[in-house]
Amino acid sequence: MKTMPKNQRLDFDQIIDKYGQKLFNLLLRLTGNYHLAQDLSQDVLLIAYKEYPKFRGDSDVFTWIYRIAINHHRKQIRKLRLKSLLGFDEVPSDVLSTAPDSDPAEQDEQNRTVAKAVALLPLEFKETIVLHYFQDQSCEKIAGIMGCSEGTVKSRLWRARKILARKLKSFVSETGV
Amino acid sequence: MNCHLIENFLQKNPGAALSDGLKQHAENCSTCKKLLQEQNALSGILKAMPQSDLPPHFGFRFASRMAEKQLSQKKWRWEPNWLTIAMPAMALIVAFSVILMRYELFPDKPKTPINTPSASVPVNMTLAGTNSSPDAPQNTNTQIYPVWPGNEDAVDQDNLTIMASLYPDNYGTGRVKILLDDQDVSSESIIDKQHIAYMPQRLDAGQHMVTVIIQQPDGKHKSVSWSFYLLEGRS
Repeated sequence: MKTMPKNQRLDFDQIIDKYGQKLFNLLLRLTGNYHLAQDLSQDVLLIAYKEYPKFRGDSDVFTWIYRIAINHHRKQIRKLRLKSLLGFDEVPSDVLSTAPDSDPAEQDEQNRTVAKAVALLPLEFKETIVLHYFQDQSCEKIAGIMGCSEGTVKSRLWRARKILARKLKSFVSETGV
Repeated sequence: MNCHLIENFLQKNPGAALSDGLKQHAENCSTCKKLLQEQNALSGILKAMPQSDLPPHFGFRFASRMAEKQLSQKKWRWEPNWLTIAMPAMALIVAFSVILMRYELFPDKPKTPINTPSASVPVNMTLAGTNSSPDAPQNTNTQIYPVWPGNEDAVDQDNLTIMASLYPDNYGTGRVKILLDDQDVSSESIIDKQHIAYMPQRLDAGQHMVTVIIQQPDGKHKSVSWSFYLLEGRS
């Protein structure tokens, strides 16, 4: 992936065509909510548009957008949890950490169960699993996106896999080699 | 039973292929074999998860939000230019000129009322019995201007005639009341469409309060109050 020239505005038609689906899927897996994922994806693109002049070009554009997405999602979760905690707002339970139930793509029973198991992982494990398995990002890139060491990413990945293997035992043993 | 060879490898090298040696080990070690099968199956399941399509009209919705955001930013952005400085300055000059014209260029015109709360009529005060002229302008509010004594003036009894001016002309003398120390003295006063005058017969020395109340054509009441000090020994 090429880094965009600094003096140029992001071409958002191109960004949406190229990365829109990946960004939406990232947020869909993280939020477990189809409509929230859509709103957050658009928020992320708006933030990227506003912040692009400050982008130093240390990484490729999409890694940078991933980072914005992860941070924006964390911020939203914190906000929703705080609201929920203070009783200001009734936060739909599926927004905080449960399974997607409104994603039209998840018709299949197994897919729904897997999505639910991923959605119920602790946030940092979930981010790691989603980036690695659903977004095909290497541990090195994930470390860059999440701002931690590669070792931490590997450790989180392993622990998340252990949790998932336990939760998805029936599917894992069915598929087992 | 407690072999961690494959586990350690998988933990440190997620997604990496096993070496021949490790493959051979996994064939013979039941713990490692089970773990490897389980992890391979899990990877297969996770990688097989379908990708969702972008929601319909995603691009259009994004474009609308971006346009909205740009518009709101534009609306609130402070862009200093000569107009933003000149306009308030001109407004100040005009306001100052109006004040000067009012007080300096027309010295014969009475000064601005001292206290003009609108509709501050005493509870038991009735302004009935209007005698308004049929050709009176109905939409002009009459202002009350104290003439004598001036607000907080000190006067003696010889000079004491309380006077106020009405401008523009008041049509209908029944709409005006004059109170001295909250006593209605309208019936003892001379009230015409331009003036109100009252000459007290006897008044104690000290502070006194005059209130003139007028009912405007729109039905609202306007009152003006001012005070004067009556000197001792001359009453």
